[in-house]
This record gives sequence, C-alpha cells and structure tokens, in this order.
Amino acid sequence: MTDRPTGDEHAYDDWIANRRAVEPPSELTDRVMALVEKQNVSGSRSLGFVESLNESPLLRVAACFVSSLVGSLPFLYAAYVAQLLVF
Amino acid sequence: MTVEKSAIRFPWVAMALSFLSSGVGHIYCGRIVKGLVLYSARLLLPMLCILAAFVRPSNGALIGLILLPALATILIFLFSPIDAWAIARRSDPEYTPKEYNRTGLYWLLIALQLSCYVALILGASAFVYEPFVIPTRSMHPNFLVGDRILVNKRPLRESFPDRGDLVAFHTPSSEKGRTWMKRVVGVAGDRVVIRGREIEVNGKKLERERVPAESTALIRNQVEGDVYYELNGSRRYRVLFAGEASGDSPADVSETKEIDITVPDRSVFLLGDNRDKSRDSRHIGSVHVGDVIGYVDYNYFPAETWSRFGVSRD
Repeated sequence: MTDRPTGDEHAYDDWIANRRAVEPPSELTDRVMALVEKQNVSGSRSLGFVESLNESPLLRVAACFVSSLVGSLPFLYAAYVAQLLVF
Repeated sequence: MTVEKSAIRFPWVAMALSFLSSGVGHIYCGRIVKGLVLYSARLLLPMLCILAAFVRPSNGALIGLILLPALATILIFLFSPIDAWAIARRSDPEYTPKEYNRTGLYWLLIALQLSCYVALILGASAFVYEPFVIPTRSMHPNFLVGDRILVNKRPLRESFPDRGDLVAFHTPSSEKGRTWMKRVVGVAGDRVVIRGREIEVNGKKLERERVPAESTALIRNQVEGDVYYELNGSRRYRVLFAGEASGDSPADVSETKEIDITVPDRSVFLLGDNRDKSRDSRHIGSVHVGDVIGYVDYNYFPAETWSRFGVSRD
C-alpha cells in the first residue's frame, strides 16, 4: 500500500465486484440452524415430553396416578414399620 | 439447569409434582413462599416424634407429638396437589418463568424430601422409637394379642430398669422370636424366690389383691382367668393366673419348680404378667441389661377396645 493513488481504478472495481459475487455454501443455513438447535435441545427435551403427555387426557391421569403412588411410598413404608401394614 | 421455556403452567404437571413432593407444584406455578412453607412443613412435622422420646410419656405427648403431626403430614400430602392444580388452572397463560423454575431444581427437591423421609423412619426406629406387635398371651391382661406398642430406646442410656418397668429385650438365640417384652420383678442384687405362684423379693412376699371381674369385662374376649393387682415396692400392676373355672388346678397349670436366685450384677429378673402362660426368667434366667432394648411407653393401636389406647399404665 502506498499513499500514491494507483492509476488503475478498474482493478479495485473488479475486486469489489468479485467479492460481492461470492455465493455462500448451500448448506450454510442448515449448519447455522443445527447449531441453534443443539444449543436449545437440553431445555426442550423435558418440555417435549410434557407436551406429548399433554396431548392425551389418559396419559395426564396416568402421570398423576403414578406420581401419587410414588409420593405415598414413604407413608406406606412408615405404616409397615409401625406394624399397621403387614405383607 | 436452564430456566423453563414454556410460559403455560400445566395443571396436571403441578399436581404430579406436588404428589411427588409437597410444595414443588406451587414452586412450579410461581408461588415460591407457599411452596416452601408446605415443603418445610412436610419435612419438619414428622420430626416431632423424636421430641416425644425426650418427654415424660403421656397421652398428650402421644397425640400431640406423634399422631397429630402424622395426620397433618397426610393432610398436607393430600391438600398440596389439589391446591397446586387449582393455582395452575387460574394462572396467566403468559406466565413468565422465574429463575427458580428449573426442572433440575424440582427433581432435587423431590429427591431430598423422599430421602429425608427414609432416613427419618430408619433412624427413628433404630434409635428413638421402635414399634412391635404383641404376638402371644404372655402379657395378658395388660397387653393383648394384636396390640401395637412403642418401645422407647432413648432413656436406657441414662438409667437401669427398675422393679415394675415394662421392657423389651433380645432373647437368647436358642429361644423362638428375637425380641420379647416382660416386666421387671427383680433388679441386680435382689434375691428372688418363687414357689408356685408365690413370689418373694428380698424376703418380702409380693402382695396381691383380686381385681373385680367387672373391671376386665371389655377384654374378656381374650383374657381368661383371675386378675390380681400385684404390689412390688412402689409399683402396682395387674397379673393373670389361670382360673379354677378352667378346670385346671393351680398345681397343674404352673410348670415352674421352686426358684431361689440372686439377680447378678447388671441384670434383671423378668416375668410375664400372664404368670401361667409365659416363658421368662424362670426358664431363661436373668437378662443382662445390655440385652434390654428399651421401655414400653405406649399402646398406640390396641386390640379389642380403644379404652386401652395411650400410655402403658400400671
């Protein structure tokens, strides 16, 4: 680079035109979206599971029923230790 | 742990979370204060049973420190999911998830509460109160078959059993059943002489007084025979002898020969209250205090009649 202007203005114009004419790779969009999806996947897994259960009333009831069974396990164990429940 | 992305609060999710651990459903709906209060209450209330072991046994302690907290815990378990469901139904569809709305936090709270419960139950039964079911008639008329009793394991560290105390102890390995319950009749150094149904402790005959039949009417489904009050030092308790109405003479019923022993150091001499139908120190000898598990404090689920609920009284 010099501070003396080049006499060849066409070379610069050609260079600019060449830079602008570059086509992005065809898979660029896919690569960017894949990166975005990878970023979000950890937060959307549980939401996807919940939304899939939400589709069916039977599944919603079953989920609540299973939760109630698991939540009542400490009470059942305490009743067993207290000799109120015999197996 | 990333903050939730969904704005909507699903009522069934709030209910399921609260079933798993009371209060977590409320936290899911953004009601953190209410959620933490329910969560803490469900954790702390059952711990009051540990406090009951440190106070003098009474019906008030049994009801106030053991039964009512247990009932309150069950009510919280039932109330929390229903309330969380109702809150989620009323919540704004454009709810903004807070910093604490994280899936990992929910699972952490659930795991913490469930593991605390298991630890509390195991620890309490190992070191504080252990429940037993009475399987035999050896402690009639005071404890019937099917009675559920609580044995307090704590005081044994501070004092030895005294005459008249009800204790649970480990039996010799040769005997059937791992743990028995009997009454202390003699302590270390006492000379105990048994001739048939008569008992002398340190040369003094234990006096008996017949209990009127009307007083034991409620338990006559299980109890057969003659009930007496027996006086041992300052303690008075009921004992049972097979009655003559059963067709057996006293000499036929009693299987023990004369016994004359001095209770060894750090040992106790134990007898069942059903004197004619009990295997006890007359058969297995004195019991070392180290084999005594604890004192019988409560009959919390009596057979036959609820009038026998509460402190195991003499």
